[in-house]
Amino acid sequence: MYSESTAGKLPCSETLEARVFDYSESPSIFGYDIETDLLQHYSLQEVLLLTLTGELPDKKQSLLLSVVLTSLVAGNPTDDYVHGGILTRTFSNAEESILPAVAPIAAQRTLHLLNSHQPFIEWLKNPTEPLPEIAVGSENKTQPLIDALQRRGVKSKFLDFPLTTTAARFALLFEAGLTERWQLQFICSWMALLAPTAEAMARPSCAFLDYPIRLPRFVESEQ
Amino acid sequence: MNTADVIENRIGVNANGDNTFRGLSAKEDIVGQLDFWSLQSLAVGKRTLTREEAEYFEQLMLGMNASDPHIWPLKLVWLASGYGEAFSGLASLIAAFPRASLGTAPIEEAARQVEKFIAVNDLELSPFIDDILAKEEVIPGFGVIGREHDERAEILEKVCHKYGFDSRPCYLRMKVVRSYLIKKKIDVNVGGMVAILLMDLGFNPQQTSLMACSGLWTSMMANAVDAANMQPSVLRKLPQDRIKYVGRARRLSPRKKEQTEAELV
Repeated sequence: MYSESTAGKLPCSETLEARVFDYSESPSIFGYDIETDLLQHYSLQEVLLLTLTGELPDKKQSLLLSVVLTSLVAGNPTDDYVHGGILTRTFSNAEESILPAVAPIAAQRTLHLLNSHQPFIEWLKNPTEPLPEIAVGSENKTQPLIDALQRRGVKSKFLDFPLTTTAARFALLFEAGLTERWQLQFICSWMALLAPTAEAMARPSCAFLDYPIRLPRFVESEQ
Repeated sequence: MNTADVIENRIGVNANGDNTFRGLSAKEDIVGQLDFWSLQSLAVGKRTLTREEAEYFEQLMLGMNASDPHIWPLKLVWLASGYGEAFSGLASLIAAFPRASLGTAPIEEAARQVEKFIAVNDLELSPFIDDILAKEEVIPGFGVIGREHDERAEILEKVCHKYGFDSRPCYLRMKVVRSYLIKKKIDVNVGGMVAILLMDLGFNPQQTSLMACSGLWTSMMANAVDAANMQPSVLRKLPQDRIKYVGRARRLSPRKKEQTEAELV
């Protein structure tokens, strides 16, 4: 016997609202035509900032993002999210599985970094307060970022402080216009997918003996 | 692909204070009437199991348990659960399951191989197997890593004997194939054995891997829970001295080279 579902009777909308992308005519992002406008006049990082903030960035924001994104490509194989890509490749030859397998690690790692840097992210909104301890690093750590910005004729207002590399990256993302936690969460997680994918695909699949299975060792416990 | 703009719901409905599942009422037909495994069988195979089949299936799933965190997929669970969120590790591993060499995908692959073995007549079976081996192809469901026999396959076989499911066609076919391959020191593995036994219960290859996921689930959960509770820093960051770089040698980009040359001038 046919019964109408309880969920099916809820007074819900009949349409799915779209608030960023409009495909009713030619495709657009927050009102800007993609094909005749953005594609013709703007770079990837500018359209990325538009998509995440709703507004096109100025030249300085675009350059800041370009530099910090390049910095965020780096992924040490010691780090769990890169390790995860290598590990997935070790037991799977399905290249399409690497990204979804690594994404939860990247997302959790970013969340952890954001949580541990929360005082610093608050500080970025009011940098007259003392610099939170979590962000204190040495000036030589941020010098490559300063040099890269200088080469492009840009100066960050945050890089005069002695920051860790992680804090400096958050600061540049913030200054580029990504001031909300969800924006930082997305951009850092998204960038963290590149290194594990590259490391995974640079090696043969299912090479079980090439993977250091005892790194680290799990020691049996009676508890 | 179904091109209709309305999706046929063959699963269940929440209505009139009850939930139906595959046409059965939770109140009237499921709770107190069925076992959990029948519900899972309905989910993937759309038929209930007899009490005897359900008990047998449960023992097979118990026999599949392998929870050593060194095992590659389980270590992935540790990496993704290591910030305190057990579900992240489960999500990561499930996302890695399709077409993987370990986990559920080899079970489906083994089941499809069993279908091929059954389709070949007795006289052609040995040349058929030799042909696969000559191509240096792995025979799905056969081959054991790091030891001669798969202890889980042995446990599952004992369960099969105990419950009297050892005269069914897939198991009998596997015995013939195994007797030939064992001379070449290739034995059936847990994936092959579970595929065979579940096909003998009436599941098709795709259903075997979905049903067998239950046997792996507890191992996955145990690793996810411990990783989330322990949050070991050594997994977040391995020692740098344990990384050996074997990629391209250091080199200058054309732009850096140009800059260096310009500075020299």
